[in-house]
Amino acid sequence: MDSDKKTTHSALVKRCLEGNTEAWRRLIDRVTPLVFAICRNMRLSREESFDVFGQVSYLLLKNLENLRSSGKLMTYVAAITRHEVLALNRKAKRIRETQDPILGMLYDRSPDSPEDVFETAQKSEVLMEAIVLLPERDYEFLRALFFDASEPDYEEISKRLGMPVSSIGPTRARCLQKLQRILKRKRFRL
Amino acid sequence: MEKNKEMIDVLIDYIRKKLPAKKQGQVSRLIKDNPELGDLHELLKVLVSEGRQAEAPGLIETAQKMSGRLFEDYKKHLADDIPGRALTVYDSSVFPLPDGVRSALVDSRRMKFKSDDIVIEVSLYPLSIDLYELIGQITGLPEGGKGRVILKSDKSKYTVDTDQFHLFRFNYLPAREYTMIVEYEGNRVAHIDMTL
Repeated sequence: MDSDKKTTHSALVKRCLEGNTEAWRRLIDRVTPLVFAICRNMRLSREESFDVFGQVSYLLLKNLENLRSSGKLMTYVAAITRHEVLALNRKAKRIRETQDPILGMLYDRSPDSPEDVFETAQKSEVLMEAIVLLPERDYEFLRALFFDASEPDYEEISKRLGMPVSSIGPTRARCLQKLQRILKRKRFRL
Repeated sequence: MEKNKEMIDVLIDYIRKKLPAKKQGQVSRLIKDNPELGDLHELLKVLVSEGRQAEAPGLIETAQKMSGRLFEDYKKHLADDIPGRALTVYDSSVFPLPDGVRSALVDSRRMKFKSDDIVIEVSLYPLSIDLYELIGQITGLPEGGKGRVILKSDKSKYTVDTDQFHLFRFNYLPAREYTMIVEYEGNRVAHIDMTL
């Protein structure tokens, strides 16, 4: 399964490098939830999150050649996102401290309960990193089921993914088992 | 599998606190007593509580628009290989507006372009329906040297020197397509295509 995933990512990356817009769109579709999960966990605003997203997209595009066969695409995306978020936070803190050191302390992003926030953030990032390793159809299925803010019902999911309503339950169970296996194999712990 | 499917529904309802109080307690005990169920519960808990927030309405579409511009710039770079071609990494105009708000009412636009270590940030303020003030800053250039920004369209050409912090400003720019050239000490360091 991992080799299938590598092939898919590798083929996508290759087509992106050739200037294929559809391949880039699909790649962005895959990485976006992970990037924004990290931004959200670090309590960035919408504008700040898109600022980070822009930088990440740029770095991703610039380094695609090196990522073509590594199978480390999502790990790389997670790492550069965290790096860009920290860089943005450092810059924002510097500006606040320059304006008023007391105000800077008040607006520091240090969470009220560091352990809780850190744990929640870690869990969500672990999940995002694992979920993109699922086969594309399973990934799309779980996204529709759990991530879509419009909360599509089974009828809608059935239409969207071209599967009978009756198979949604069993498919969900199978996808969750696959996700658990990935988490176990990668030694991810939720 | 069927039993498993039913249990998933029960667990999701448990996480969403939709079960009657007595059943919530029963499920809670089941999770404690059964490690396998406990693992499934942990996974579903993260999926249910974090999942919906991961893709706020319009997020993917906006991200696609923003990264789509970056990729269009990249394709131009592949086609013409112009040195210093900067890619669009941020454009506030892609954000969806709240219902009923016309784009003409939004009073500013921020854009950001990147070419290797050089970043050009631009803010646009409308002076009238088709005239803008453009204020920008270049980062990544060595301090002190002479920077120059040239804005060219098919009808006009404007040139300004940057100040010591590499800030620059253009006033009364008509809305149209431009090419922005950034020079440092007489050498071209960035090439940007933009539409006002």
